[in-house]
Amino acid sequence: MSVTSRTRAAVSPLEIIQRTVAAAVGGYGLAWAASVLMARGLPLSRYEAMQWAVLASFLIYLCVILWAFRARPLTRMWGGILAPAAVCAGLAWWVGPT
Amino acid sequence: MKEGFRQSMSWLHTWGGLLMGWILFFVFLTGTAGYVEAELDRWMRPEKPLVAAEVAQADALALGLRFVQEKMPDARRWLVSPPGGREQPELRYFVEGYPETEGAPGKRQSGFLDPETGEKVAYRATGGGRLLYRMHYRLHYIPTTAGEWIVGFCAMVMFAALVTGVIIHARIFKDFFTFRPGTGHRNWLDAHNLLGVLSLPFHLMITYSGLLFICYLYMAPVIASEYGWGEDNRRAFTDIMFSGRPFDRNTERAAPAPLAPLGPMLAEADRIWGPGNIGFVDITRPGTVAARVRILEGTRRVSGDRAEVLFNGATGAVIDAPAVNPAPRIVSETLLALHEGLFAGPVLRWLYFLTGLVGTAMIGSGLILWTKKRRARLEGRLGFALVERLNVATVCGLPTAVAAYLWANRLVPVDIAGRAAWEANVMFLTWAALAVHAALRPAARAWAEQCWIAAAAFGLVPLVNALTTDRHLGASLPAGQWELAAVDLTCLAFGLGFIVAARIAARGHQRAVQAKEVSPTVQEAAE
Repeated sequence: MSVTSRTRAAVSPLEIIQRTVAAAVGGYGLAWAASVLMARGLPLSRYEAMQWAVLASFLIYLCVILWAFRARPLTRMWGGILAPAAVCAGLAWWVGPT
Repeated sequence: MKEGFRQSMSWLHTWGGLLMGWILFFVFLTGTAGYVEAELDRWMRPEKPLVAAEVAQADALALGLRFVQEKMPDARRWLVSPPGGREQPELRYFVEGYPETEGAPGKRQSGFLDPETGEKVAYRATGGGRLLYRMHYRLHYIPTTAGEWIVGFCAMVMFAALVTGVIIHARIFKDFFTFRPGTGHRNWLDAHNLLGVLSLPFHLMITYSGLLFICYLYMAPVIASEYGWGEDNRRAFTDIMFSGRPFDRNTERAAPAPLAPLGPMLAEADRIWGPGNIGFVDITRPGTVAARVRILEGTRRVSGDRAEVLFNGATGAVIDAPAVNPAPRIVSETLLALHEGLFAGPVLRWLYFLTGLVGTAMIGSGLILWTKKRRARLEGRLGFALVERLNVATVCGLPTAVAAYLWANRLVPVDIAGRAAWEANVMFLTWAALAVHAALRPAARAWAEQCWIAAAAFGLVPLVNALTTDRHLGASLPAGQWELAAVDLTCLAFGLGFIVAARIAARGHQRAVQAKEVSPTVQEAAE
């Protein structure tokens, strides 16, 4: 089910809400988890790793927003956000603060 | 599949752009004004002499340094910036005392000095161009943090709208040369595309770097993950990010020690950067063993950083403190410097200003396009009426409100309390009045009427200026004071532009009326 289609088939409000929440909240979550992993994982000084992470964070967020409105079905969309977020968060936690 | 992808990207572009468009229009318009902040500041202080006195920087600096030492001998910080270049035409000072209670900020004072006498000069209280610049990232009337959150959220949506705009507009370069005037909503679509593509690199840069400016807020949890929560920890990162060096915020009183003579330190700065190229002199904890004297270079570069030289204020010795400047910082600093454009000379500054206007117009045309495309289907619905009225109030009303801000600078009595605040109040009251007007009038009429109001508001600025001050075009042009004259002349140009817009709007209104009289269905078919 596409968000919009040529015939302007009705999109359920629930789907729109899900995609918006996935983009705004899920996107932030994944951007956060991936950036923290970068900040902790990159073999650089604390400042350098963090600066790269901050630079990357907004680009990651952007990509997740696009994904949230692109991927279908909804389960795949959610999986594509939550799974990498969980992996990144887990790894970041495992690496721990430098 | 490909088509479906573009469809969903189109949905995101349309609705994200619409819902954030009004705030983004405000951000882009006031941010564009920020590129001529110094010129607006000068225009809004007509008490300044028409032609600035030629004063050697070293003499002005000496007067400023003497002033702060007498003003607050027991200060935690003295800061003096001598006149030099566009960015700081004034001799300015700032003093900050030690906190009286633990954790509270110390007493702060700042002002302008006459560079020839060192006496305090009094200009009318005004927010100047600086206030417009500030509004573009923290809005107005609300706490700074709240404003930055809202603007940050809108900027993220803008970022997505730009990329989705490129995706849905796949034939981007072919369509760049497509312009079909007088074809219903298509000419608005073409205009929107043209404006967007024309300065796409600028839009991407300005949005990404804008987000970077408020990363300490938006990505606070990321920074905290390594540096810890709290302002001090956060600053351990942002001090390096924004200036390449940790900043001395220590407010403890160290053991007393006389301040070493400043003359040799200033001479050393002149030796490194050439005479008359000092940006500011920043002295922290003077009169103690912990005193530090930071001297910053005046010249701005695209790569952002100004050179600085640091001295031990008690001994006068140079402290070798090289800036932290690894690759990611150069990337970040270059983006931030491109955003601010402080390095830009007159030609590049005009380009910044015009590109900012193009961005503003792109957002405005996108808002209008939304209604043009949906008029046939949605006209008469409450939501459609709301969008249409908000569009009039934003696209026409907001520029008029900015013109009103300039009027207020000339017309609000000089001696009333809270004068600077009233200038901004006039701006927002004007905006509110125009929003009410847009709500009450038929939309097509409201467009034409508000274009005429905007034309008058801008076009008459030079006249208001001439009637209230002697810093008008008749004085500034013969004296060759172009930065002053440019404000009047640009307002005049905006006035003419809005006359053209008013005529187009009136024609559109007439066509709509005629089409309705012939047959409503024909018009719907045409759309």
